[in-house]
Amino acid sequence: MTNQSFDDGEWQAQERARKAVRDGAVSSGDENADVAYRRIAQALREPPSIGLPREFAADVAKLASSSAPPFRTKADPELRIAGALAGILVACCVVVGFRYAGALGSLLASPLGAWGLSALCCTAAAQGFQLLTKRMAGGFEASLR
Amino acid sequence: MNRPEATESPDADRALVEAVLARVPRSFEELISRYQGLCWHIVLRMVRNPEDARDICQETFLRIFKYLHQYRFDSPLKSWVAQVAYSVAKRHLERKRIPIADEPDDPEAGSLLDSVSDGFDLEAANADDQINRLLHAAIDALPALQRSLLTMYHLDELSISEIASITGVPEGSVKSHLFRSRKRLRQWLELRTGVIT
Repeated sequence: MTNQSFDDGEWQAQERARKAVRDGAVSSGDENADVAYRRIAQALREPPSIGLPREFAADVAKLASSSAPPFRTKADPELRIAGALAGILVACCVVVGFRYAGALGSLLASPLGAWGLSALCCTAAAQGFQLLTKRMAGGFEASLR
Repeated sequence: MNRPEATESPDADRALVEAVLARVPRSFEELISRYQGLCWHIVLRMVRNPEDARDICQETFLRIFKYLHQYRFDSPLKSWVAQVAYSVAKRHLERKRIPIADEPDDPEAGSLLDSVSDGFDLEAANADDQINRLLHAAIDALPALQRSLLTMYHLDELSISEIASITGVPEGSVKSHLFRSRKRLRQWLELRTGVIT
């Protein structure tokens, strides 16, 4: 009884019974559906005998609106700050690039400079990717934690 | 409350979510009313205790309210609600150290159903309602995961792929769990009542 390998024929019998009950074919005597599986399908389709209190929706909605902070929108303060900081960083890089173009050229030509630039690019790419994936999946995962 | 309603279309869901985010009065109450049946079925079948189930449903909808602004309509709202409900109920069981699923070859798996027969009167069992009552007791004796999969599939009419995305269980495993649970119930039913198929 415990080690039950999958049998496609029996799966089809289970499904026929489920569909017969769903479509209301039981009362009309669907001979194709297995009697025991039909009985099981009927029992599984019955809702619980007890339900939520009648005022559940109103009570929870009231609780939610009274206890939850205002919705955070796409323009969250931390996102605005992060965006502003990124903008300042880019502007600084441009200014420094123009101001010290010659010195930077020789520095980048050296092995240490090239390695540093590569490391900087990799870090920026990793951070950017992380921020992007976090923003995309944040809502879904946070609700499940 | 018991069956999916016509108002669950993607457009209706989107309008409702936008109304909740815009703080339209009673919109969140409407969202809860629309999905509290689904939440209740999943949670009650998993935890079995009505008081715990009520608290879990409340926590589910408070979480939904809190994170609704991050919902991106990647999946139907119904699936998201079910996913949050399942996740909160699962965590509740884990905190109580209640196993969610048995192993396919677990020798203890059958004994849970066997215990349902205590006090069973074979002669009186011919009455349909008594067989049904025992069958419900047998369903309750299944592991939490299987109970919830069966409920989502039969009562809430979710597809196997929807159930897989809600529970995080691969589609093949969902199908296998459904098959084994129903077969186990059938064997139990035959053994106890001698139903001829």
